[in-house]
Amino acid sequence: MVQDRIASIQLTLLVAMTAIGTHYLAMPGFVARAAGRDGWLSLLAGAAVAGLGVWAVASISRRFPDKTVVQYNPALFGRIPGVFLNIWLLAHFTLAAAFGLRFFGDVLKLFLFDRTPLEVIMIAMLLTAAYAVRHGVNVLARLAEVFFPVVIPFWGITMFFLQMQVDYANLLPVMDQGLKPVARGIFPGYMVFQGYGLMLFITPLLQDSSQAMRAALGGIAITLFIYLVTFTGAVGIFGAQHLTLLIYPVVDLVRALTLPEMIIERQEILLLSVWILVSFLALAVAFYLVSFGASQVLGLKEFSPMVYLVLPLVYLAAILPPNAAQVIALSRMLGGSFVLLSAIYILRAGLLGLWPARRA
Amino acid sequence: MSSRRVPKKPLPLRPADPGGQTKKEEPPPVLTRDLARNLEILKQALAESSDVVFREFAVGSRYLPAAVVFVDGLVDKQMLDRDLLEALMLELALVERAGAGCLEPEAAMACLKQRAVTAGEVRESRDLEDLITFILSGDTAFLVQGAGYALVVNTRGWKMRGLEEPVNEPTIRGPKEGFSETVRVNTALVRRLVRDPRLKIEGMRLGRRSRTDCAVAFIEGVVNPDLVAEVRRRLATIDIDFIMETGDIEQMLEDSVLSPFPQMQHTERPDKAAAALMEGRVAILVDGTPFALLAPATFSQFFQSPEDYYQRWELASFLRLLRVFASYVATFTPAIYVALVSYHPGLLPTPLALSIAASREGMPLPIMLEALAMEFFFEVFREAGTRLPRAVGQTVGIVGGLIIGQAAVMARLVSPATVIVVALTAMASFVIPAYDMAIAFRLLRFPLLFAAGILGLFGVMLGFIIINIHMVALNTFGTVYLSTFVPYQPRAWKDLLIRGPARTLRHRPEMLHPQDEVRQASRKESGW
Amino acid sequence: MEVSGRGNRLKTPGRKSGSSGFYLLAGAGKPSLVACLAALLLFLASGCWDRVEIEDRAFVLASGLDWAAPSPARESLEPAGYVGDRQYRLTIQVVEPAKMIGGQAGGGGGGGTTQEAPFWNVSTISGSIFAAIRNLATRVERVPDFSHMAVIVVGEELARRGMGDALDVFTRDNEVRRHASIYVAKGETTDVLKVKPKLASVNASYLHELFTNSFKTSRFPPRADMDYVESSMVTGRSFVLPRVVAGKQDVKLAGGAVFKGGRMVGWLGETEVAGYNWLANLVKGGELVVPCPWGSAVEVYEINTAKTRLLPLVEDGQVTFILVVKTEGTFAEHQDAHDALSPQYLRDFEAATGAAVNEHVQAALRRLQGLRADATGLGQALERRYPGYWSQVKERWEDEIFPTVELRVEPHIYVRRVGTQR
Repeated sequence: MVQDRIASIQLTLLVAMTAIGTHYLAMPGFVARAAGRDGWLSLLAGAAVAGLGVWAVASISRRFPDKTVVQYNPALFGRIPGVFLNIWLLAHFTLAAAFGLRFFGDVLKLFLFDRTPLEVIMIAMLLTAAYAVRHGVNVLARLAEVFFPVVIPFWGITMFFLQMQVDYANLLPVMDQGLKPVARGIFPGYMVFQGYGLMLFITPLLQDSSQAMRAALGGIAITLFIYLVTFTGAVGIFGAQHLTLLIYPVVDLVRALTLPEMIIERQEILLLSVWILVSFLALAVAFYLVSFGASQVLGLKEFSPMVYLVLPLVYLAAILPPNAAQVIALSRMLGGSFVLLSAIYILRAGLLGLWPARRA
Repeated sequence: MSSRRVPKKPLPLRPADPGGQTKKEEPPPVLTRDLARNLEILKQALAESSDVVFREFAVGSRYLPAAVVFVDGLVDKQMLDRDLLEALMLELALVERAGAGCLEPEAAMACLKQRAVTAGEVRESRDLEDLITFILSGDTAFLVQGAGYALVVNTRGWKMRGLEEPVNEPTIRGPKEGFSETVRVNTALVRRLVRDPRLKIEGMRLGRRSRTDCAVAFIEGVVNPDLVAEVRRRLATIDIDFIMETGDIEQMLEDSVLSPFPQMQHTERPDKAAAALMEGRVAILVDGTPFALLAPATFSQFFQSPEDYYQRWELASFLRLLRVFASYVATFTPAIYVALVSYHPGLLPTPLALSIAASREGMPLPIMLEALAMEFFFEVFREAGTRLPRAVGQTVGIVGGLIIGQAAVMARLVSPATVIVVALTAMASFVIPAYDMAIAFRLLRFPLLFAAGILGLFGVMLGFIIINIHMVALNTFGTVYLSTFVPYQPRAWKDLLIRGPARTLRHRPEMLHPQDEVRQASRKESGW
Repeated sequence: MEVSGRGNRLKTPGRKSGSSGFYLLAGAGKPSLVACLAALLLFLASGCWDRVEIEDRAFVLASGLDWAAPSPARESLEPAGYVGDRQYRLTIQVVEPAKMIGGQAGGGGGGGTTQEAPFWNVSTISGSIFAAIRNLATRVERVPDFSHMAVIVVGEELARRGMGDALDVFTRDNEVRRHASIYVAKGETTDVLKVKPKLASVNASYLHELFTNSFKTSRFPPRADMDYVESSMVTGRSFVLPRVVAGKQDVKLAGGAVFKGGRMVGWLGETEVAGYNWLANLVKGGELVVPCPWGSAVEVYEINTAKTRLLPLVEDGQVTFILVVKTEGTFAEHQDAHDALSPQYLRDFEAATGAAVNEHVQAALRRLQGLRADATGLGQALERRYPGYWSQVKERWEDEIFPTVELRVEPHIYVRRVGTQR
């Protein structure tokens, strides 16, 4: 089976953009809710855990070159647990795609559309994603390469102008309540790095899979940088206390931006428009992982038929939560599932020496 | 102009000889030794063609019957007279006097070819079908009684356009010679710029009936052999009655038919073609058109002009950035305008929003329809301007653009802001050097406008995403269309959006996988 | 780039189509393009839910919020559902673009003409701001668009009774700019909003643009926007909003309203605002009128740059703040005959300026202490420096500790230029 190969820089960008595509807009809020103004430390800790996760996936993948996670799971954990884990993974990424879709649909509906039905926004996104996913991972990787230089300068300029308004003194005092808030913040601080989960599937598709770890760590570093700047900026502008009340703090952050001479107003519309690119990519990646993984579980040669099977599933899962609170619950559930999954793989990778995997 | 000749190589890509199969009366495939019979067959094949001339005469002291067959108008009469008829009828006597007794019917042809025919380029042809093709291409067939084959003398020479400055690709600085309609002249123009012996110009014929001469040019040792093989393979799959222009071939060779984007580049400029060859691309030249095809073509190429390399790099870089920016303006401005005005007026600065609102007071059409209509009529004016004779075309522009536009605004049928946006878009789309790419952008404007009218900025972004998905998925001859931007090839970026200083452009584009990657020694190596 | 697989490169990757023949679609399968895009189009063709043409929008440039005594007003004839114990009067200022642009084009200067003002103030009374806005839809034929609202004026009465509830809609709704400036009107907002400005065309831009002068005088109250108010209310801090006073032909933007716990508790005078600006490090420019150190004439120091820093100091339970003031400036007016370039004179002048700053600052602090409202962030400075001490006094800070706080000004004043004459 001829597979599309992707370059390591593409993996870096995919990891970064998938992570920020899903959780960025709400990130400062829920990190601050858990960790207060020390959330940036939690983000650092979360990134460290994510680094550990990257190491785990990379070292497991090294044992099974050219195999994706659903292919090596049975060998790694035994047949029944492996199958169970496969189903779990697929369900996880289906929900991840659904959450990405729903979350961004909600944001768009709130800020851009008043009367346009949510369904329309979501189906439009989803069909576009299906169009991209059908082309395979290579196209997604290239899209990441196209979108990255569009999004990052925009983000950078925003943050640059924001610096004049940020009062970094709001970050003080550091750790006045000890380590406890920081520790509480590790869960949200870690789950915002979820994007690297795609490594499980994509590592074997790398042109040079020995680069997997470095590439993914690069992606996490980019993500971390973006998160840190944003979080400290948000605390600096709103203060931790105010921040905890905001549902979409990044949007509010951009709204708070005072551009010199007020060239444009309501910059958040601009931000959201540009952010459609990132969110779209994150959605498409999760969508792809599910289709690709499912096709491998079923032993199909081509994954593209799966796209049409997965599409309604993602849509249903996305439309199911009745209100904003349930969407947040879905996000927490995903986070929990992701933490459990990472724990499993990190432990298993740690035990690789003691308990070598059966050759598949 | 003796270099104008049909390529010597047998047609490698056309195993089955074109033509002939459909005729009811199957002529014998080869010539006989009998002149009269040969002539009869030829006359039969070329019957009712008033422009085919059969001239029979006798050769030498033994009055060996001979004949020449040619097409009037395609041959250089002077050359025919001097190098063939005069030589055979008058100067042969001198040869004979020198003691060569070679006018035995069996050996006559070989002898004549060696000693009498003074034309530069001759070849033997035994195949009747071939012979007819040669005659119809402007060669002269020379037949002698007793020889089982004919001598094909290259006497091609017809009235043709001189070398003029390329009309569609003018530059301020750079060579002023453009390709013309004769493929041989064109290959010569390329050859003049590239004297590398490894510049290969493969010939072939395309078109079952038109039998058009084509040439595939590439530089061996530079070009990726797989690319040449693929070009050959695709060309070989063309089985059509007639080829008129490189545009015909382009559409049959391209990877994606549904794409609005051109996947091969065409040029009238020999310098551009030569530069492309040097990069490791393949050029396809076709007789009858001054446009050479360059394959593969990537997106960024359409924003480049050969002039970029002739001018200093700062200016060239600025112009490139300008073109890229203009192309975005041309594609997205109307859509963004519609989205902002009818969905997100909050994004506009307050004074602007108010002045647009004031100017739109009482307008009959919603903004999307207004913009669509304006864009549509702009295209109408543009098309009218191109199709009409040049003198009238300008009038159309003035009437269409100025008078109607002005009147429409005065009559409060359209808002001035829309007119400005449409006019800006139009001007911006003219900045793109490649006409076919400019058209692609103009086409994309309409769906984008539509999307903006339905979903506002979200629609525009979805459109942007879809266009990008299509572009990154598009491959042309195995090269990613967005190369070298995507996948990232940072080494090539100094000649992408900007054009780096000449000394820094040391490598050929990686995306083409050239065999010889380095095109310039580094400063240090060159002893600067 | 990979080296292997060169042979494969020429085939469009990811496709299972045969090795010969054309690839009809680049990479894309026919179903994907046709199905996805056609479905998308079809589906969207029924759209345009949110489209409102720009000429069909009524751009609200300013809003006024007043307390309205519960009374059977026009709107409350048919109370919609639950009506709380509060009644607001909402005034929106809708701009009439055609008139505005026409006026500019035709009138030229046009200040003295009897032309109608290009804006329209509409008021309504309701128990909820949101309902009030919707109520207005029955009277304004176009869709109200708040995305260009730059000014919110709150009436004094409402401010004193607490305006948080009334502002909630404006913070919750995404259409309103976060940068809309908030003012407190002395008296009724309608008096402020109905003033027809001489230079600007619309009342709202007049109010908004006054702030561009803030580097000209330090008596300007700091511009306050939704973010500031929301942030302060959420964190329970006291804050100061600019005061606007309506005249017949103009308004005066000076002084400030002090808020504590979301309610206005008192005014800051014009000079007190100057002191407040120093305290809160908000001075952007302005002048200081100083008595001549060597005589009785009036001298003026013009502030070019100013920066202040608060240093808290806790000693034996007594909280002291040191305000380090660093400013560079120019000698703007010299009504005296002394040589302005004499080093000794400049030194004395700098000292006198420092004393003037001190006076302003102390006056402002006394006023705030009197109101028991720490609107300048003294508490925050304390919290950052002494987090332990802060957690002990947090509860009693504003009412007990803050009024007893001492403040010392440490001025560093540098006159850099004296103008063109000695």
